[in-house]
Amino acid sequence: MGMGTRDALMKPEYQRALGARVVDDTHIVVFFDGPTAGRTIQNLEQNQMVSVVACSFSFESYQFKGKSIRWSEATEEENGFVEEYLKKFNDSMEVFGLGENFVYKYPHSKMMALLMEVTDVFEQTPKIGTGQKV
Amino acid sequence: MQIMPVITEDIKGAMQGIIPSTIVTCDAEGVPNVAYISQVYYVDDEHVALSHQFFNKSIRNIHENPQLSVCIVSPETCQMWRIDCKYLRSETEGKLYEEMSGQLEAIASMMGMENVFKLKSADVYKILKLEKI
Repeated sequence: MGMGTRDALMKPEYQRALGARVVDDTHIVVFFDGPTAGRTIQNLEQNQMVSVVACSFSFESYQFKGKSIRWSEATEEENGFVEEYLKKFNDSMEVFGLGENFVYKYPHSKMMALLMEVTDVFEQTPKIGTGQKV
Repeated sequence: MQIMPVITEDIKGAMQGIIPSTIVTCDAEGVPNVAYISQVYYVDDEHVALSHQFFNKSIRNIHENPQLSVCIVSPETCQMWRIDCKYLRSETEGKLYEEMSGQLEAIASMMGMENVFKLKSADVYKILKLEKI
């Protein structure tokens, strides 16, 4: 998973996301590593624009566009969710022949939880004509 | 995090396409767009080329706002790098295009997407900043 923000000069910024959960039909919570997200957090403080892309192991992909509502350090329960995500992600990646505990090497020392209002969803599965609004 | 002055062998390894890279663009209204991309291709220490296949919104954004943020991941160490780039040009023929087209075929074969991945152009970007995450 990845998330994108931008600053006041329209400069985009990538940030790795490590899991997300659905809150309701128009809100999701996205988890990301705080210490490596300095500019992402600055961007969120300047404007609410945020997009998130997620991909399954069958390459089915979706992008969620919307506005940040709030963000804070992940709670103990949320950190447990991220750990479960990492475990399942890692188990799946080992099938692809990547190293042991590969996924755990992604920075995740201090997870942040971003509540996002989703205004648009786009399919991004790799295929001709992809990018259509869902 | 640290600023890296040159593209090392480690970084080149993260450009093999084994782990898909991710790009972020931004349209004129300020809406960011995130997309996976098959190929970030090493051109030289100051330039990379991205495979233009079907990320249409990203391309539209680049033509409105040439700034791009891309993340590459080493398949050996899981080390990530974030690269800030500026779009320069698109190439639809020549050595770079042919090399990228060949590599894309290999990536497509690995993913079982031979009939899906077709290179429209090799888009060349200037590296503005390279950051180890």
